[in-house]
Amino acid sequence: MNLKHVATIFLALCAVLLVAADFFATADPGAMNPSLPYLPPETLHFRSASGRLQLHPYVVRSRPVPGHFAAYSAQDAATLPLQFFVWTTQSPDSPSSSAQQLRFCGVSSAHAADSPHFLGTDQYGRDVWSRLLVGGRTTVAIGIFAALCAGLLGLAFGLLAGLFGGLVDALIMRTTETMISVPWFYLLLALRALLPLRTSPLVAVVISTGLLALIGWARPARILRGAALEARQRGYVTMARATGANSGHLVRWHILPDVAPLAVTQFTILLPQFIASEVALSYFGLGVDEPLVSWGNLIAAAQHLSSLVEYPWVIAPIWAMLPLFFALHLVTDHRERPAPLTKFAQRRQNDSFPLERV
Amino acid sequence: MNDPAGCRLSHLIAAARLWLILITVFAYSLHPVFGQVLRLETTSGNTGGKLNCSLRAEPKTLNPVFAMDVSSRTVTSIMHADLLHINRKTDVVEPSLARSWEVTRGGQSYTLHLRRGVRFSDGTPFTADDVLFSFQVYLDPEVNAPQRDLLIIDGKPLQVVKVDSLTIRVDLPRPYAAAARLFDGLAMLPSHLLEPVKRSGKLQDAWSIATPAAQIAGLGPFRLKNYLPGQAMILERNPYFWKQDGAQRTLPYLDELDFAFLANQDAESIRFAAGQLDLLARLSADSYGVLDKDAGQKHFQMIDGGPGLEFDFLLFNLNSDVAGRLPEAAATQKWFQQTAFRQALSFAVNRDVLVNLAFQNHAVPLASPVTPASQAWLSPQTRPEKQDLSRARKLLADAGFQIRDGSLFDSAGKQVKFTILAASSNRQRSEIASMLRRDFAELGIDAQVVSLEFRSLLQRVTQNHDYDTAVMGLSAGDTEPNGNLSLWLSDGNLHLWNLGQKKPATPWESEIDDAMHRQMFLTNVPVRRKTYARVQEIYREQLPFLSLASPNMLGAARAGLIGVLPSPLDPAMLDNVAAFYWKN
Repeated sequence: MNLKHVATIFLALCAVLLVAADFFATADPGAMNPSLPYLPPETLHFRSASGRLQLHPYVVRSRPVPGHFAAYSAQDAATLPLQFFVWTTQSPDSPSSSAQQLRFCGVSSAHAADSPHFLGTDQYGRDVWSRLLVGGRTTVAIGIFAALCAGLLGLAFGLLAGLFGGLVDALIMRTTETMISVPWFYLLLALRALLPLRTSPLVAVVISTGLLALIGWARPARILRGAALEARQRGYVTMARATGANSGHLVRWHILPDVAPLAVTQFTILLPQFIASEVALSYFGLGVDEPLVSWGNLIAAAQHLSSLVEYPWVIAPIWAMLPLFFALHLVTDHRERPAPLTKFAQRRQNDSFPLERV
Repeated sequence: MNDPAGCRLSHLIAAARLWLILITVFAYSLHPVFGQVLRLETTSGNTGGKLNCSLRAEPKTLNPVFAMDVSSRTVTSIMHADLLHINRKTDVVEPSLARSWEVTRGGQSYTLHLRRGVRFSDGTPFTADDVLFSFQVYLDPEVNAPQRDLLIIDGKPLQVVKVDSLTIRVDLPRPYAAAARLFDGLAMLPSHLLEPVKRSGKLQDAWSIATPAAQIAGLGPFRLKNYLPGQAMILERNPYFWKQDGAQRTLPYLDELDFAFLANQDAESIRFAAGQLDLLARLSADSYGVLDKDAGQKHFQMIDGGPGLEFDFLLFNLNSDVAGRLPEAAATQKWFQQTAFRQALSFAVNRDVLVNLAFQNHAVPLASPVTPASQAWLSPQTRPEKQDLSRARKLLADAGFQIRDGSLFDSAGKQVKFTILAASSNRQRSEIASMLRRDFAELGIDAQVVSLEFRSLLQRVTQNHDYDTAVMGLSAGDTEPNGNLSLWLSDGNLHLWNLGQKKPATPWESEIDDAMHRQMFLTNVPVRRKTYARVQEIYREQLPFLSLASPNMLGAARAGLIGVLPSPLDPAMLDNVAAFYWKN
């Protein structure tokens, strides 16, 4: 098993955690607990105080020191035994609509304030672990959505430019150069002010990610144009053209299969880029708004010195993004190497021999 | 009889006497020690040393007439002095450049006696002509100084008359309650430098930050030494300053005052913790919390001056021009126009939690825009409300609102949904907005927080009025009722909930207008207090905006710096800078 396999398994694990975020979250991500601001992460204990192995692991809940902000003492700490597959009630403020939620792990007590905080709490006493998962789902979904849109747009324009050449090519390429040279990010920052005020947070997110995609297609389009140009010159394409194949046929059967691996690679390169864009936009308070949770607005809440120095657990999304991006790049790196020939490619390669010999 | 020798001697003695008198008079006028200095009661401190402070932005101007932004005001208030000064500790008006004053004609005339021997920082004597010139500048409609409005009482400007070279009489059109306070912060200008500039009509351009130090003179404890564009502004001790300590040593103690330009609070905190800054003013609760944990170890003192004059509030859009022009804002305005709805929202807010979480307990919950810094004028009846959801629900039910499936609907069957604007750059206000959203959700209201860049928020609130509600903060100009005048008066430019009124839109706004106009001329303090209490009572009944909290004045100083006095009035922690000194 090499590094690539580790990365793939890690990504799969992330996918499971994020898709089933509500299940793996230990608390309602929106539920505030004003009495527990900035609670440090709680560790899981498997042995009781006397050293005996416990049937149920437990966490130790420190008590807030009265009169002090975010100060906790271990004195008279309560133990919260954990249970698996428990039903908990959602707070009325929760973005989720269902009243009951099945959780992988939690406290059976009906009181939501008793849920364990593996990654501590934020300023409002909200569970950071749960917010990390639910926020990650939003962020990665936005990233995938934007990368897909940008990738498809890039593919379409790249193929058009590569295939038709001439005026079409020149037009598309000059457009991409313009797009690349404009500092779009700063323009995006002004976008929220231009959007109608009463757009729901979800619609605002869709619009801003759609715009991210609209801007992001330029680079993949240039690369895919090059690939399409190269594919167009191949012998089998010339042969197909000579036998009367139209553009549609050429694209569908000859050029697209040739360009597809590169398009997938472009998508995997765009993915972390767009995840980072969401984070950056929300960091400046102009991406995903409350009550929706995203990594960007989680980090935005932690952009002050106090968070970095005093409460480092609130920047959990940064710790999560590092291995995620690393794994994504590892997998991308692998994809960029020549893939084993598919049946199609083999056939095409065979097709091309006679012509090249001529 | 005829004794030529004796005669010569008496002539000599007479001549010597004359010389002695002349020398004494010359010396008397030459040095402030021989003039009428202001002697502080403080024990003496150590002289020398410098103080490193910071400003969030470069000052825009060094001209005290046009200084509007915080940085310019901070620097100019240190470089210049006023005739009378409000004691930041006791909130009482005290002598400054005027050593005493008398009030005659039933409070309509103020005769101010200037100190003798006072000199500008370039050595030129300060006389009644400078006072006369300064008032000419402030009152000149062509100069259009921001202070002009303050000096126009009941539509008429005050008259300034020179009685003699050290006496000035100020005549008011009618007795004015806060007349003595008008002189605080009104910088006295050097006529020898600025009169020619004023005559040429270029006063607005005079004393920009690029002006060489030699061309600027003031009466404050420090004068300009050097300006490093983008980096710092350095002030040095004014050797001609007219204040002394108890041991007759001329103030200020410090030799130099450096203001570094640091764009944000984190940069300030890091520099402070690293020992590169000695004093931090206007700290946020977050930064205060971080520094507080290290205070003992790193040898600095934390300063919590209690609530200042700033108040944070939730503003409702009650603007009259919304109807017909902005259908969406008009739809939500139908709810905000109902007093019961506004009261219900006020009862839904948990101000204690807000103070605890957004301000880490360094704030006080508010019932009205009058903060505890204005203790003398705070109506005892207006205590901040505790969260009372059942009362809020009852108010809504009585007003015809209904809760269905956890959501609130109005009597017409429309779901109650609105947006709360907050500036994305101000973390505390965004946090307050989130907490309000949560509190309103308890009533079944779907409030949505929208973070906007500050300027676009301001544009919506003050210009096109396209918003539902907004979390904002304002700071009163003074501890006394006139400090909030532009907020209360229906034609005031800070009457944010309904701007641009030609005449009061509601009977209660008209009553507030009357009371505020009346209190200005009430010289009887208890009567004035009662009148202002009525204004606060009307506010409390009507709640045109929800007062939430008043943040404390927070700061930090290096251990060993003596004399820092936090104040709600400008320049925050530096008012007493002349008496600052280092312990060792």
